[in-house]
Amino acid sequence: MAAASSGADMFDDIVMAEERFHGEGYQEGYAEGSHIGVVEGRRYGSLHGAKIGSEVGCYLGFALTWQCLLHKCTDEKNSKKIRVLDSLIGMIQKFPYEDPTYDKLQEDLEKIRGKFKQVCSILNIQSDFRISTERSSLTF
Amino acid sequence: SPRPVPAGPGWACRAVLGEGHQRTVRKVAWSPCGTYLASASFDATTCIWKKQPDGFECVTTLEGHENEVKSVAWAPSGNLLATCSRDKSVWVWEVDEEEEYECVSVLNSHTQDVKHVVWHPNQELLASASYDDTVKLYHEEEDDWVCCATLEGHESTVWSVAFDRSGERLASCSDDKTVRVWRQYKPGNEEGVACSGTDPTWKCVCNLSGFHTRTIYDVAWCHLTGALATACGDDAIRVFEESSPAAPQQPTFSLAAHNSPGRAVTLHCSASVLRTSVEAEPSRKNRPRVSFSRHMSLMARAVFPVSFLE
Repeated sequence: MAAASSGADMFDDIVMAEERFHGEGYQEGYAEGSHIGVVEGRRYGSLHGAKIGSEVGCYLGFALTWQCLLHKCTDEKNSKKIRVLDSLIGMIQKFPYEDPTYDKLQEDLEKIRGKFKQVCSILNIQSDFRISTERSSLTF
Repeated sequence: SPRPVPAGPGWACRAVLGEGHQRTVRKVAWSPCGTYLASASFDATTCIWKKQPDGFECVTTLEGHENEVKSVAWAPSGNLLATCSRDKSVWVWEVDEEEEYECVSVLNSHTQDVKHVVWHPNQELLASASYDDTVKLYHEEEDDWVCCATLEGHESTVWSVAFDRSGERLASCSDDKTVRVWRQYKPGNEEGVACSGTDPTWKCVCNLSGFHTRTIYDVAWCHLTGALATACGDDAIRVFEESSPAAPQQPTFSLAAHNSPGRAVTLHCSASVLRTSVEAEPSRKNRPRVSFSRHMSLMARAVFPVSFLE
């Protein structure tokens, strides 16, 4: 009896070889793919994050500069401009940069962009800055 | 002052405002006081024209949108103006006694082209319709404008929106060939509809489907009779009347039939209505003109837009 069952096991290994290798190959490939995916994802996330940071940083620099320039102006017209600038700066500073899982990330970003457009409208500045005539406008 | 134009078939062209825009003028709107005319254009600007004894003068050009401005609307108070664009944003502008316009908000709530904006008849509440299949509502909250409601339900582009006389209900028309009626439920409402905070919830209470065979481009709600009129890509204008007095939570509208019962109930209007589609030709240097003509494009087989005489 024992001899017969060990004979069946031996053929079993050969017969099931393809399926076994297939399974092992899949596991190895899955592990490797996951690892490569994480690396690529990290690189992509880093790029994307930098783009957003760059855009928001630009708005912040712009707003702080204007806040400085208008700092001494106390008339009614300029107080409105200062109020809107303060609002934009406040929104940018409140934004949670360290948390990519923040559920209102896109919504708050759109609010910042909208507020920036309003600031430009009030300051009478075109929001698509051109650094020089030959170069393309600053787009994000 | 200009002679009154006699009512009837004769309409005289009083002015041609040809020097304001560089591209299609998509929408015009009179201010509530009747002194100003706003024109929204594909050239990304909105011009404000002031009526003078001898014609119209462009008093200011509102810039800021990145591309085609699709609609413009004045708030009933006359102090606020809203514009919307293919750039997905809705802008709210404020005008003061010195005719100075200032942008008070840029709203980026829609995710696609915004087709139409309209103000509530008696509140400072703004509605917008978009290619993203939704209608959004906005109001001022703590010195800033915010989106306070999103009406989802349409399966395709929402082309236009109209409030009823009281402002309790809103009708929207869409590329999905339906007209939907939405009703406002305030916090603490007796129907038990949940609200978040102090904002009312809007729910769809009626869906007019099966009446239109093509995209519905415009809807108007008569503030005198409560009738709804639609402009559709199948070349017809339809008028709907509310069956009285149904439960307000489930209003039903039926097509206002013409004389003979049993016949097709679509109303086809007279030639004068077919000819009210205005086409503004791109202004050419010396001969700009605005003419009344039938649209020649595909979309122009539709009747677009439609409104009731006040």
